[in-house]
Amino acid sequence: MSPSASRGASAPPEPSVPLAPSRAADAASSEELVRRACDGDGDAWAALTRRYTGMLWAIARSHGLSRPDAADVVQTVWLRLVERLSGLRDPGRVGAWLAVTTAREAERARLRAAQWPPAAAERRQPAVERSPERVYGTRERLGRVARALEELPERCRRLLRLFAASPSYADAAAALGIPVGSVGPTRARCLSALRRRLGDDF
Amino acid sequence: MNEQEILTAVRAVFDAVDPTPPDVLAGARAAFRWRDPGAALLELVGDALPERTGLRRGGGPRLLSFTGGDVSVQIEVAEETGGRRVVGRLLPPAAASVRVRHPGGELPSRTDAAGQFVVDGVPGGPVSLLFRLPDGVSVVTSWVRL
Repeated sequence: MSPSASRGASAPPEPSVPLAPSRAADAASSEELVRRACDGDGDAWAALTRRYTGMLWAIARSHGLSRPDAADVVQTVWLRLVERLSGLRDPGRVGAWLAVTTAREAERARLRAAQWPPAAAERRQPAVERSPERVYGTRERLGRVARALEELPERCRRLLRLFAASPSYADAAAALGIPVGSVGPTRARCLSALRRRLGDDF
Repeated sequence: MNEQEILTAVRAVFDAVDPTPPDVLAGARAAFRWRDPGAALLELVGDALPERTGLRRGGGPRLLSFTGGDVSVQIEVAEETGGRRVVGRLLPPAAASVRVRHPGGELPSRTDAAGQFVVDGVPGGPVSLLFRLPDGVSVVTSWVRL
């Protein structure tokens, strides 16, 4: 049975997620996108998912989840947002809500994977699918950034990944579970550690 | 390179070595199809993971409780070959239709007069239960990962 069959009598007959969405919604604020999605606007919803799915993926993977577990967690979080779109206390902070919910679900998933090793072993995959060398070649600039990242302590590598994947400071703070005020200094510390490894000529 | 350029490069590196899978993006978009603003939400209020007992996997069922307003739902999820068995109870007891919703579709069932129901073959991943009560009211449980 298709999901659309579960709709109530008052819902439109077709799913309102368009096949070829307009990208005009990408310019709107997250708060506006949430309000429009509340009214059933599938373009607004699609724009929210384009804006935040990369961040949610980065959060789930930084908790050490396998790709299948991370995919389940990210999907669950988006479904949770769907069920409470109209109940969000602060639609302008939807990014922080998504980040916190993903971090919490990822932590639960990590504990479950640790608790049930047989199940976890079936799904285990290497944390990094492809080596940076193979992706870029050694001489390219991105390859240098990739190698410098690999030399960083795990904590800084994770921080920089989440900063880079978060649309705003507030989202990054929520993803990391730190106060917004500490985002700037923390980010600066890890960025200079990365710069040192990149060298002066970079 | 300034800070923003470096962060852009960091993002490009992770997009290349561990990209967001296209089906994760597609699943995020498709989640909107499950929107059911007319249904009352039952929040997850309890999730007891089974203790691992000896070598037996799934040493006991996982117990989940949901509640919202006057309605609550309790389910036990047992791992079985070929899927999960969900045994549950709707309170207050009522004969209602049940749909176990998951990203790939739905599994239908009904509660008996005591509000009890059983659904077999439930897949892993996100799941939500939708109840249509005799008075026409719909309630849904919050999505949980089984």
